[in-house]
Amino acid sequence: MELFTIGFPTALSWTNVFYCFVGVFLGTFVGVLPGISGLTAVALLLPISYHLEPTTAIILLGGLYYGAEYGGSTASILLNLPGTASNAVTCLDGYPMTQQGRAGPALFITSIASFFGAAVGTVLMVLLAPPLARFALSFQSSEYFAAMLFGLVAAGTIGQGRRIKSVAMVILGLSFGMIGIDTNTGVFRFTFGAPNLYDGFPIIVLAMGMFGISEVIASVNRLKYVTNPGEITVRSLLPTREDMRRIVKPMLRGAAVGSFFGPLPGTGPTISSFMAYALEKRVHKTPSKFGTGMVEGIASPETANNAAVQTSFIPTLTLGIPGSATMAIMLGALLVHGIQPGPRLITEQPQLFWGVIASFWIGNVFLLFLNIPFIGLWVRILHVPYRFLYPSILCLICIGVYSVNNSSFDVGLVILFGVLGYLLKLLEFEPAPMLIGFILGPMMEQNFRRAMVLTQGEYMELLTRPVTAIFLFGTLALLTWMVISGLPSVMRKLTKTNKKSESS
Amino acid sequence: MVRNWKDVIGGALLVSLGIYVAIAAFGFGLGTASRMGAGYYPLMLGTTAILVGLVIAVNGLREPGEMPRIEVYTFLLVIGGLIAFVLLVERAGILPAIWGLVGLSALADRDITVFEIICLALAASITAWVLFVIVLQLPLSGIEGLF
Repeated sequence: MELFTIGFPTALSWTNVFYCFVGVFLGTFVGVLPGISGLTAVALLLPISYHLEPTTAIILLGGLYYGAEYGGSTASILLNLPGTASNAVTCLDGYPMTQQGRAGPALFITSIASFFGAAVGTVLMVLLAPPLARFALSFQSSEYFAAMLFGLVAAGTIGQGRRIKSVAMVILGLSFGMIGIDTNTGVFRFTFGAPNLYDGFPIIVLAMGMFGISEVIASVNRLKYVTNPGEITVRSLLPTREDMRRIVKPMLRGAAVGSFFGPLPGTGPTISSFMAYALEKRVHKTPSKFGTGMVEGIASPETANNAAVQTSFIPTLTLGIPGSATMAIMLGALLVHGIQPGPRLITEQPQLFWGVIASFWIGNVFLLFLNIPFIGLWVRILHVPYRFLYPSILCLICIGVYSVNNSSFDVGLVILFGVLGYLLKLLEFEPAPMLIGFILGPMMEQNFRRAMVLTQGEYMELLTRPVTAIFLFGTLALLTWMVISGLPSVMRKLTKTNKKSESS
Repeated sequence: MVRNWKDVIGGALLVSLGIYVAIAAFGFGLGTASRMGAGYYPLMLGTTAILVGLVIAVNGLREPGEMPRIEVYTFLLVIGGLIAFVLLVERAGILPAIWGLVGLSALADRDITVFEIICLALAASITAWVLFVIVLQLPLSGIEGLF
């Protein structure tokens, strides 16, 4: 109900509609272009959002995030290059469709699927967020500590790449989060005598360096996409009736998968799209046909990643616990405006919460128009060579970061993190979990300290509170799972080395 | 014997970070579990970092892998361009800073021409100057001493 009494009036103000459009437009733009992730785009616009009202800021950044999911499939389908990571799986069946001259229907189907996924995700958000927030009102510092610990461990153990290396990145993020004056004792921690570090440093510095700069270094001379995907006209977009019949169930399954993995910490749109594809392949009568241009193989993952993007706002806005790196940046944007996301957000900032949700509807309708009648525009954007793009991205990074505190010190820090980010990329450490660690670390420490004061230093006392205990056991279960699933490969290697040493 | 040097190096770096954090933590004052000092949490974190780093490094020693390939040329030009921006932005103004940034970093691309670099540098610097200095009022000059 509040969606219509508070949400739409807020979201339909001229400013908010304008920024919603700017968000989804730029989101589609960067989504279409391989080499710029949605996360980098959100970070690039973060400094601009500081000048806006908090509601407008989140509408803009949110629009970028889900807009990139729409745009990302375009490059996957036409060029076999994923625009963003969560569209990678769409290449598998999308590109074969282009080769068969069915690029139009593929683009149409992914837009419809994206819209459907987003719609399901947004409805779930309306239904689930308020009760979850009411439940979370009873949370005290021990529950927050346990939930945050669970979120951090999940971000490390469930995400992409080697699990233990993701855990390492969470730890690195937590370490960066400690920089600054400790608010309880006034002790200077890791400030290296630099007054600019007394309050720590903004998350944008970390995000721009770790993602923006290292992405550029890794993409120069690699991304050359001068191909001609051919003319795409509106008429050639229309799928056959047979196509439409075949995508109904995959879209439903995709929406379910995305809505499940979206709010969980550490999973998000990329995992959701891969899971949805795997599920589709499993339930299909002829799984061997996948990879040859099956509409099911593009509809389901594209529904799933959009559903996941929308539902990932649930834990961020109701608990203040971001599940993904992009959400960590959104949380950072709210903190800059002095808004602490948590269970009280819905009641204390109803125009923000409901306005943002209403803007999702508006933004997704914009996206449907941007992506179906105007698809030709995006196809032409694919012709922009990367060599013109990346110097512009670097300019935006520098000026954007400079503008936050008017300090070239911050830009220097970005360079430092850029070097570190490139090093970590070379060493194959996935940087996303680090941002979650960075934003959650200070809050977790505060809650940990407060919780331990209440239990008078008794660790076991924490387990007497049921919700805390559930989160802590969940954390333990995740860690055990990580160790056990890591064991077989270690054991295999051990026996192999033993055999080798015996034979030699 | 082939080793996964990526993990060995990464793990070793994490162990050194952990040792540094843990040692620094003692200097912050540990306190007790019920009244934690500023060093209590860093000590826990540092210890965890050492453990996780060790696991990664030791596993890496037992696995095959290859040395990472570094794009030295790209890396130096992009980072060099960024450093030029930091050095120039307050001393010489936003236009020269962006000329330095674009001029250096664009060289990293093998196909780019001098004409394209000049166009890019001019377009980017003028856009940035109009948008950020004139419209958003950042306290920067276009070219220091001129405007």
